[in-house]
Amino acid sequence: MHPSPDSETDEAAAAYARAAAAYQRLPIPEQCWPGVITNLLTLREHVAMVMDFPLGPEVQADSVFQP
Amino acid sequence: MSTDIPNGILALAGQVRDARLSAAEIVETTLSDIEARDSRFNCFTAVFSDEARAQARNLDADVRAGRPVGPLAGVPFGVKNLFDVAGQVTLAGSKIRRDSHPAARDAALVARLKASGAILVGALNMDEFAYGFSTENAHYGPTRNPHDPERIAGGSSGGSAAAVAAGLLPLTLGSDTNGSIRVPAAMCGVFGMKPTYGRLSRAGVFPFAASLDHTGHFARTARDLAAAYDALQGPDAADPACADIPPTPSLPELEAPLDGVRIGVADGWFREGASPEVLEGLELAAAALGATRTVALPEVARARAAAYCITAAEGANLHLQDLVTRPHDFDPATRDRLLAGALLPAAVVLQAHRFRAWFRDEVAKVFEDIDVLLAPTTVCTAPRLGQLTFSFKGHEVPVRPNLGIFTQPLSFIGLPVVAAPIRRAGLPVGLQIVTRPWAEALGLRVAHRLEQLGALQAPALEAA
Repeated sequence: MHPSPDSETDEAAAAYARAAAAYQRLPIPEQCWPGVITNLLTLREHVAMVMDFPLGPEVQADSVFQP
Repeated sequence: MSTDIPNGILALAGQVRDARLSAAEIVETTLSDIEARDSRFNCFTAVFSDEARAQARNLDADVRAGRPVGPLAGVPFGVKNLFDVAGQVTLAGSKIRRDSHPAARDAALVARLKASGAILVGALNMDEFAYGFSTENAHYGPTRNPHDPERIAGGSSGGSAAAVAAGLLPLTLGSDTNGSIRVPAAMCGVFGMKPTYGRLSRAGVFPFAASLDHTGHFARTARDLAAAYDALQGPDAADPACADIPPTPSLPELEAPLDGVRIGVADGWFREGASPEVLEGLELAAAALGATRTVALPEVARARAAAYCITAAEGANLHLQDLVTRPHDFDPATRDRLLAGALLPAAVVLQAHRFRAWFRDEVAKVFEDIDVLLAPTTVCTAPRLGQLTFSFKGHEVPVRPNLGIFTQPLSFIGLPVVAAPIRRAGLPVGLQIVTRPWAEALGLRVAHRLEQLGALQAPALEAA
C-alpha cells in the first residue's frame, strides 16, 4: 500500500518490470514507465501479503468461484 | 426536486397501473429535470429521449387496453454505461470503445427491468473500464457529488449513485468488482445493493475482472431496492457465473421482525483507520439494533491484497491488445495501472485465487455464529475532486485505488451487502449490511428496520 522510498528496491522493481515486459513482448511506451513502476511498487506490497501466506495442497481454487 | 417520488417506486408504478398517472408524464418530467439539472452533476453520458418516450407510449397503451403491466410500470431508470443497451455503443467509460459496434440487444438486467415496466432513460458516467473509485473520468469529466459538487461521487458507478442522490432517477444499475456500488452509495448517501456473486446476471455487461464482477443497483430506500432486486433476480445461462437457483423474493419478508437475528459489529480491520464520523455511523446503527457483539474477520488485509492482485491481472489481460496497439487512448492513470497488472507473475494470481477459497471457508465459520455483520463502507467521507490522497492509519494513500479498503475483502468472497446511508447531518457516511451467501433478503430486512428506527436515511438534497 505504501511504496517504498528505498531507491535500491525501486530499481529492482524497475528492472523486473522491464525484464517481464520484454519476456512477454509487451511494448510499454517510454513515457508510461514512471506510472507503471509506481503501480508495480504498490502491487508489490499486496503480492508480498499474498505470497507470505502458506496454503496446503488441499486448498484449491474454484474454476468458477462458488460463494 | 421535480422528479419527486415520495412514496417509492412501487407506489409510482401503482399510479401508472391505475391510470392515475401516465408513463408519458413521468418520462417528460424526468427528461426535463435531467436537462435542467444534470449539468451540475454530470451523471449522464447519454439520454435516450426518443426510446424512453416510445416505451412510455407503449406502456400507456397497454394500461388503456387493460393489458397487464409489470410491477415497476413507468419507473424511470438509468444504467452505468457498461451495460449493453440495444442500438447504443457500450462505452464502459472509455474513449477506446467509441469505435465499437452498437449493442445488438439489451443486457439481461436491462431487459428484466424493461419487462417489469421500468423505462430506460439514459446511460451514466463511470471510471474508465470501472478501474477506480472516484468517477473522475478523463474522457467524460468527473461526476460531482450532489451533496457537495466540489467532491467526488465515488466510483466506479459514480453516475449511477449521483443520479439517485440528486433525485434525477429513482433507480439505477451499476456494477461492483471491489466496491464500485458500495463506495459511491456511501459517498452520495443512497442505498446500493451488491448481491451474492452469481445472484444477478452479468450477461451484456462489459467486464472488468470477471472472477470478481457483480451487478447490482441503487435506490433511495430499502423498499425500492428490494422491489428492483426482486425484478432483477433469476438464473441466466448466458452468464457462466450466474447461479442456477430460483429467485428469492425479498419484498414479502421486508417487514418481518428481526427477533432472533444475530447481529455482529465489525471490529479490527474495519475500524482501524476509519474517521470519527464513519465510526459514529457504525455505532449509531449498532445501537439502534441493540447489537453489542463485535466480530473480527480473519486475515482481512490479506484478502484485500489478494483481490487487488486478481483485479490487476484480470483487468490487464482483458485490455492487453489495446494496451499494445493504442495505449495513448486510455486515461493515463488507468493505463499505467493496467500495464503494471500485466507484469504480475502467474504464481501470485493463482495463490490469490487459492487464498480466496481459504478465506471464504474461514468467514463462513464466522457466519455460523452471526447472521448479519455491520461494517463501515468507506474510511472517510467523499474526498474533494482532484484530491490525490487521504489519510489512512497515519499514512497518506492514493484516493483512486484505496477507497475500497473496507469493501474489497467482502466482494472478494462474494458476500451479499446492502450499502446504506447513515442518517446524519453533513456529508454522507455509509454502512455495509453483510449477510451470508444468498441471504440478501435478510440484509434488506435489516436495512428497512434501520430506516424505521431512524438510523438510516438517504439525505434530501439541499436546494441547489
